[in-house]
Amino acid sequence: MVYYIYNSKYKLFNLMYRTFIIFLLFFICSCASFNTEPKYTIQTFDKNNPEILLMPIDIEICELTLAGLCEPNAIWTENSRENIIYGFKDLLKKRNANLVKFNKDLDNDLLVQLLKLHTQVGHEIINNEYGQYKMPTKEKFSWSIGKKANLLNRNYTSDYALFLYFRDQYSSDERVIYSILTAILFPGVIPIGGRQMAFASLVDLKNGDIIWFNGYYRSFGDVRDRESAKKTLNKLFEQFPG
Amino acid sequence: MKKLLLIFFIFILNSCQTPLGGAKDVENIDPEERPGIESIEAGLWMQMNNYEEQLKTSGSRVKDKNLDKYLKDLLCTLTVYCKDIRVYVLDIPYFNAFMAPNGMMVVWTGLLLRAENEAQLSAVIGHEAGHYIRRHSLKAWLDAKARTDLMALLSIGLAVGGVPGGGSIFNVTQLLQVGIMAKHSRDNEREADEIGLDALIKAGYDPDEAPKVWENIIKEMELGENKKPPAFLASHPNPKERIKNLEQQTKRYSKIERKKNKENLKKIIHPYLKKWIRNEIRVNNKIEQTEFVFSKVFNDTNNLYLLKFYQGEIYRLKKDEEKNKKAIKLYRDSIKENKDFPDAYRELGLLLLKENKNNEAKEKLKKYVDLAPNAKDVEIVKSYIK
Amino acid sequence: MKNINNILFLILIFVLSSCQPNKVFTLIESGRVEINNMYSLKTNKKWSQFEQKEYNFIFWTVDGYTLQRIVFFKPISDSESLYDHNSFFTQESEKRPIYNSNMNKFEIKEFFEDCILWSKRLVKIDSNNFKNYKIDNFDGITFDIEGQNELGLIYKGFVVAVVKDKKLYLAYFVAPKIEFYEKYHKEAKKMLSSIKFL
Repeated sequence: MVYYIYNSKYKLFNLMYRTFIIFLLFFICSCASFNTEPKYTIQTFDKNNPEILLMPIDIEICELTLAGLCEPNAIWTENSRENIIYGFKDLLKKRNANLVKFNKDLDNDLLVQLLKLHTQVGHEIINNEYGQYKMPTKEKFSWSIGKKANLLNRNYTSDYALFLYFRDQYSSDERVIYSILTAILFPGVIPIGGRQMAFASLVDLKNGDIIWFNGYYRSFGDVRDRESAKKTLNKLFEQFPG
Repeated sequence: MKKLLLIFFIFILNSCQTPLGGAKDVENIDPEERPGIESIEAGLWMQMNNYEEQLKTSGSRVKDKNLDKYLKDLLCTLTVYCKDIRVYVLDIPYFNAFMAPNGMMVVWTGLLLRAENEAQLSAVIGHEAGHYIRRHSLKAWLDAKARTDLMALLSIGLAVGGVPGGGSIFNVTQLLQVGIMAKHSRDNEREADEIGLDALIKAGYDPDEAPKVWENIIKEMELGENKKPPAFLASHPNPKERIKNLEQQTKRYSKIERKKNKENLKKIIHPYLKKWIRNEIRVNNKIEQTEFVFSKVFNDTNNLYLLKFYQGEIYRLKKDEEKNKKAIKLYRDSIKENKDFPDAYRELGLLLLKENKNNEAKEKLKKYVDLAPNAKDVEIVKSYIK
Repeated sequence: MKNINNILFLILIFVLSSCQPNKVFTLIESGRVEINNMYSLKTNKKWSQFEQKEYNFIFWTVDGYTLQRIVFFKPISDSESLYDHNSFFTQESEKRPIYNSNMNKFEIKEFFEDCILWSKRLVKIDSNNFKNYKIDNFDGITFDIEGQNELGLIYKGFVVAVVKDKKLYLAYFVAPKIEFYEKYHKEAKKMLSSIKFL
């Protein structure tokens, strides 16, 4: 995709920053994929019928062309978003919890800062829990965005908020054939196939504590149809409270 | 023999300069048209929509109701597509503007600083809108996809053909392809220039201002570090060629007004001037380059004192004894033009202290405190007077 | 776009696989603590201290660099800069802001602001409350800062600096304005005002 960037000094920084930081943090382990453990401070909800506020899901699905460019795919993304929400609702039903969607009205500056703070805390969690350098002041899993988290609770009925980040790539048919041919002709060269990366965090709206967090990066999984999405969600929501 | 055939084949392939992958057949977008969700274009829009969400509240964004309204109104005098385009300003001290496929337009403050008048700014905005109307991003994507696919196929073909060193030929092909992809950008740029100039003239602006934008860029770059235009111009037609094309195109119009509207633009950016100028100096380009930029910003007799002052700042911030002397002279010139501008006294006083001209220095610093008794740094200035 | 990302991953794997898995963080207990043989200060809280020889600073944090940090720069001499190591996001090293021992107080403040922006720690920074300030009875300066990172998160903090034997000793505290600045700035202020040179 060619943006008519005028100054190459800012090419990397401006466009890639967000995606790049996420990828950077995952690669701190120097692995092509890793299996992580979910982190949590509670195992069951402290309320009988909790309401979970589902924050707008940050999701992008793309298709790998033959040459390895990843072409963003809108309809896969929309379908996957719906599948994830459907699967998550199911998961909550089993735990006697229900879901309410967050209304995306973000005119409130404080709310915007709160959401950005959550993203920043997410980065530090990944750094500390899944990266190479652990901080001694963080032996226990204890992270919070503070009491102002209750600002998210605009309908005054929600107990927790769930944040979801999801990226996935699927190889086009041409890519699959190309990968096979390349493997035969250039042994040892592994063309990069589809990658799935996700992380999710559950925030207690009373105090802003992050009570459950999970992230992973792997080279399989499919969320474009409901059945396969269920498997991915089982992986993503391991050790989810309830 | 096989090797020669393959090289010949590569040569033919790379001579193919028409846009590939269906890019040639992409038509204009209609006002208020949105891509169908199954299309490739919808995917590009989705990705850019996500990026735009982040950009809205990014730390680099200049969020100002007056500035945003001004740019929106300007866009609407230029094109009916203004309902489909949102303009964002990023606080980055370089000349740049770009158009994303979903209607997001980004303008850097370095551009707003360098535009001498509204006509010049409109030339750039109209040009960028042209990229949106002609769907250039989609074209570029389709073309890039097809070319990279061909490159990948070729590498397999070469391996199958048993050409030794097939890998390195693949690299040459890559280079040739990149050269051609850059050229496609140049064709797109030419189209955008045409559309931009057309919009400029129809809105009543002076078309001779459009090539001036590029003339100023060339002059600035020649005074700069590398003496050649920055990387961005690689994907643009040669500036001299651009200027010629714009001049040729202007001849086709019979009714031409000559609106420049310098005051409108200067008034809107006035609140940000101090900050953007400081950022410009911070980039630490060659003195002559920055002086040239400032000569375009302050081109009025009644702000000559500001020009002198900021020129002084350029020299002072190089932190060099020789340059300090030049800075001192410029601050003195600024004070001659306007005896009541506090900052000039402060900077002059501080530099005189470095030259050990303590008496005069303290006199100047006292004057600063007199002129700006409530300034945030008065306490520190006073400690230098003692 | 993703193609470029892929290339970046590969570069990163290369770079990071050369990372030694040594301990970069150590625990700081409360009490009077010496920092890099420069000075000592008193703290009532526990901190994680980050120190690596390639970096010309040490920082303390509880929740992570971007959630709160007190940064202590090693003594800066003529021609040095505040973030002299090679950071992935910095621009050409030739254009980094450099210190010289003839700087007046205003220039030191400008130097700090320039270094923060050049190293992209923040993309926007404003200073306030610029005052003279005694650090262990030496004449120094302090000023408050407010800014944003690229993400758009607003940060608040303050800086203390003093020139001793022609070298610049600078330390600063910064944290996101929401939640973290409120929780930590009083303690940070107490800590930095307790600095005693060794």
